[in-house]
Parts: sequence; C-alpha cells; structure tokens
Amino acid sequence: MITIHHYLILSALLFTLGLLGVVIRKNLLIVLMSLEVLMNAINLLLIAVSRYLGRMDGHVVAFFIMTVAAAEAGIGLAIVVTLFRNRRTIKTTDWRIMGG
Amino acid sequence: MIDLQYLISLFHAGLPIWILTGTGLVCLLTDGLWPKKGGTAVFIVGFLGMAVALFFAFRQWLSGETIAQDLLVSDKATRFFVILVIFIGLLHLLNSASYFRLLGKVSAGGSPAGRLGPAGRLGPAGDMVTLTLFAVVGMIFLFASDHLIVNFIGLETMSLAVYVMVGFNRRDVRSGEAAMKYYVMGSVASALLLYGIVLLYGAVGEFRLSEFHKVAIFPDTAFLPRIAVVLMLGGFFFKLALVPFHFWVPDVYEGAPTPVTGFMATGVKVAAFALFIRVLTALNYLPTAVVSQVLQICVILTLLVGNLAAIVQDNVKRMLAYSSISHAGYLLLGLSVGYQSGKFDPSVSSAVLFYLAGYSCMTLGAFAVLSVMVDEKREATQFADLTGLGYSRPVLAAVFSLFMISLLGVPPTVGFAAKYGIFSFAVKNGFIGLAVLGMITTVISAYYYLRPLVMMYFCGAPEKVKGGEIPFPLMLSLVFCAVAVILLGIWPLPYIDMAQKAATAFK
Repeated sequence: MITIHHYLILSALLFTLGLLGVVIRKNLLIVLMSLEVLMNAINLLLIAVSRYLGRMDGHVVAFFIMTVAAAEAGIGLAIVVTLFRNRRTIKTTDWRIMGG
Repeated sequence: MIDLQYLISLFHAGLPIWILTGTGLVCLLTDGLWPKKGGTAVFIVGFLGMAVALFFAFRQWLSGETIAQDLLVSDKATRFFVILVIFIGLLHLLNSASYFRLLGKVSAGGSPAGRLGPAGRLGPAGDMVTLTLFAVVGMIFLFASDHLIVNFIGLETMSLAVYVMVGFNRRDVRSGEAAMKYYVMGSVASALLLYGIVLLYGAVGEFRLSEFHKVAIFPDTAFLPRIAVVLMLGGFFFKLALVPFHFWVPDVYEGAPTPVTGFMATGVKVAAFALFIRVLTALNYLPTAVVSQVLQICVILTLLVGNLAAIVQDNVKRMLAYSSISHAGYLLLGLSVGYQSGKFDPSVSSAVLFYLAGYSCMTLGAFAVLSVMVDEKREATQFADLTGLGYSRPVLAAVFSLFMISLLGVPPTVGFAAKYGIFSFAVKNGFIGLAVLGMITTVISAYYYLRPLVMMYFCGAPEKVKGGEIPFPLMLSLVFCAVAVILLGIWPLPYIDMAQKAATAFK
C-alpha cells in the first residue's frame, strides 16, 4: 500500500538530489536539469498532497507550476547560450572572473 | 454565466496592473515596428504608461475604500507598495535610458570596445523597458494577493524579467556570469519558497493567507508547518539577501548593468519585504514560536557581516551591494522587534514601510550617479575612478555625497528619519540589544560611506577630465531622488502618516 508518506519521502529525496546537483555539478546544463528536478519534486508533492486532502485546487496549481518551470528553463538556456558564445565553455569552474 | 458587476470591480481593483501589462505589450509592438529608433520611442511609451498607472494607483490610494476581489487584494498596504514600486520602475527607466545613451555615445566615438567592456554591445535597448514593465507587474502580483500561488507566480514573473536584465550586456562576460549566478541562486530560492508553500498547503489545506486563522493544526502533524516555515524563510532570505544566504549578492550586483543593480537593490527588495510582512502576519495563527529567534539571529549576522564586509571593497558597486545587505538587516530588525510573546504585531511595519520608501530613493539616486560613470571600455565604478570628481563634476559629486550621507543616516536626510523610526520601535518594544547593535553598526558604516567623499574631494585632481554632460532623463531622476531624500528627511510626517495608514491594513 502506497501512502502519502511515501510520496512525501520521495519528493523530499528528489528535492535533495536536485539541490545536491545544483551545488556539486560543474556543467551548467546539468545544473539546469537539477533545477528542473527541484520543480518536479515540488509538483509531485503538490499532487500527492492535494489528492490526499481530496481537493482540486492543488491539481490546477500543478499546471501553473509546470508553466513557470518551463519559462524558467527557457531563460536559463538563453543565459547559457550567451555565456557559451562569449567564453566557449559552460563549466562553472572556468568563469570565476569576479571571484567569490 | 458571466457576472458583469464582478468583472467591473475586478477591473477597478487592479487598474494599475492592467495598464502596466498593456503598456508592456504595446512596448513590445513599438519595438518591433520602429526598431531603428534605438529604443527612444519605446522609452517614451513605457514612461507614459507607467506615469498613467502611477496616477491611477495614487487615485486608488486617495479613494480609500478597500476592494478585495477573489485573488486580488487591494487594501491600503497594497496600494502603498504599488505606488512605491511604480516609482522605482519609473526612476529605473530614466536611469537606464541615460545609461544606454551614454554607452552608445562612448562606443560610437571611443576606441573599439574591449572584450570585457559593455560599450555598444547591449541588447536591444527597447527590451529593457518591456522587461521593466513586466517586472513591475510581477512585483505587484507578488504582494497584491493573499493566495500564495499567485504570490509565487508574481515572484517568478519578476525574477525572470530581472534575470534577463542582469544579463543585458550580452557581450560582457561579467554580466553573463552575474546573470547565471543570479539565475541559479534565484531559482533555488524560488524552489525553496515553493516547497515551503506546498508543505504548508499539505499541513493546513489552504493556499490563502486570509484563511489561516480558520485552520486547525493537529498536534501530531505540527512538525509539517514548522518545516514549511523554515523552507519559506530560507527562500525569503535568499531573495532579500540576508546573511546566511547573501553570498551571491556582491558578484551579481557588480556584474549587472548599473541601473539594473539599482533596480534589484530596491524594487526586488521592496516587493519581497511586502510579501514577507504579509506572510509573517498570517503565520501568527500557526505554532511557529521560533520564527522570532531566527529573525533576530539573522538580523545580528546581517548587520555585522554586511557592514564589516563593505569596508574592504574597492568597487563602489560592490560596496553598495554590501550596503544593501546591511540595509536589509535594518529592515529585518524593524520587523523582528514586532514579536511580543511569540506573536507578530504588524503595527511596527509602519517604520519599515517608511524605511523602504526612503531607502529606495537614496539607493536609486546613488546608482543613478554611478550610471554616469562610464568609461570607454567599462563601467568606471572603482573607488579610484571617483578621484577628483568633486572638481571635475561638482554637481554630480555633491549629489552623490548627499546620497552617501543619507545611506549613513545623518540628520537632515531621510536615512536618519528612517533609522530613527526603526530604532525607536526597537527600544519601545524592549529590544535594547538589537537597537544598540544597529547603532554601533551604523557608526561602522560611516567608514565606507564617507570613503567616496574622501576620494572625490581630498585625493587630488582627476587624471583625465571625463565627459561632463549628464543626460536629461538622468538629471530628472537625480533631482527627484535628491529632493525626496531631503524632503522626507526634514518633513517626514506626511509620509510617516501614509506608512501608518498602510500598516494598519496588515492584520
């Protein structure tokens, strides 16, 4: 039997994985993917919770969050492309000009 | 069935928002239709649209009646912030218009721009106007609703626009790097905030802050709202650039085009604080006793780190970045003294609202001055670039000194009135320690706020005479900021009265 707790734990795990990915990985595309994982972890939690509460508003909100995540990914990719045009690299280790 | 009456009232409640959105779309069209004009037409359209929106926002403020329509809240507090945010947007438009003009001139007449230089390599100038308008709309939605998801979408609208604005110097590597850092940090912050919101929804079954007083918390699930609140605070602290989450601020503020830095330091912070006050007020109904301690620790860290780190900077923009961190600390101090026996009393937020207004004026003014400091190859914002400015451009230097003195908090300026309000609330509510810490750090801040003055007046003549002309839009914004800084400083009562009226709407 799969209960709400399983979903809570799964989404927490996914969220942690996403955070780790953002912090540890040096390739910007992987960082963007990790950000996507964050959003999807949230969506999973949202759907599970609203199903558990027996309410519809969470289901609707999930679509908004998907849209927001898509827009965010679009902007992120655009920034990566401009960075790549200037520096010919998308490794975070390569472009610490400002330091810190 | 469509309820016409309902639609009409919705239209009236959000009139400034609809105007701003419409203007943003028109700006996109204008930019497409007359691309050769270099963005001048778009600037004019955007400016007029914002002015009209400001007019209607002010009329709403005067009319006084509260209109709450479903997902839109239009109370006094919201209107106060709407006016403030539109003002910030207008000043930002003026600043960035001049910045583009100066950079354009520099790139046309000067040497070929260096690889790192922003000169002549900006994105289409008209896009900045559109982005500003949409960012302002996002800011309004960020606090003009009591539905947390609408707030979140507003936050994202604002953030997405600002990410692009930060990376606006497309060929400048520093700008791109700043955009990327801000994007990653901002997205993580948004995700933390959203995770908190969703967990809170799971715990209380509500997205609406105004319904929180009705919910019942069961003891065996009381840990859920606690985790949720911690996550939300983390998200807020990222956005507000408070100390455990401040490490991205100096880099991003340095790399972004100067007017955009001003916009981030004021607009984003104002909007996020507005929502923060709303959320803190609603959290009173949940068992979250530790929030006040968390806020106090954060205040102490922010004041110390912000002020001490600002001392060692050699770039004025970086210095102002740390200065904005410490000002966020003072603002948070103003909120954290509102806690009496575990409950947040929103009446203290009147001092915070006044501080936000004053802080916006002086910070935007300071960044407006820095927008003029453009050399052939780069933004000339090192401390060394200020040398002798008091002799080569006396007016500019005098105005910059005024803003620095105001940021420091010296009596005839708004900085003093604002800090006085915050500290007097702290003393009145028995937070003597925090008030003393605030005053000590203010004294420390004198070092780095007075350093530009020393550079401008007492470090000899400039090596070369820089171009002396100040573009008209920038002159306008400088005059506005300077007058506001002095006026709010010597005659603050009407504005404090406004802030108090607005603060009563939080409950």
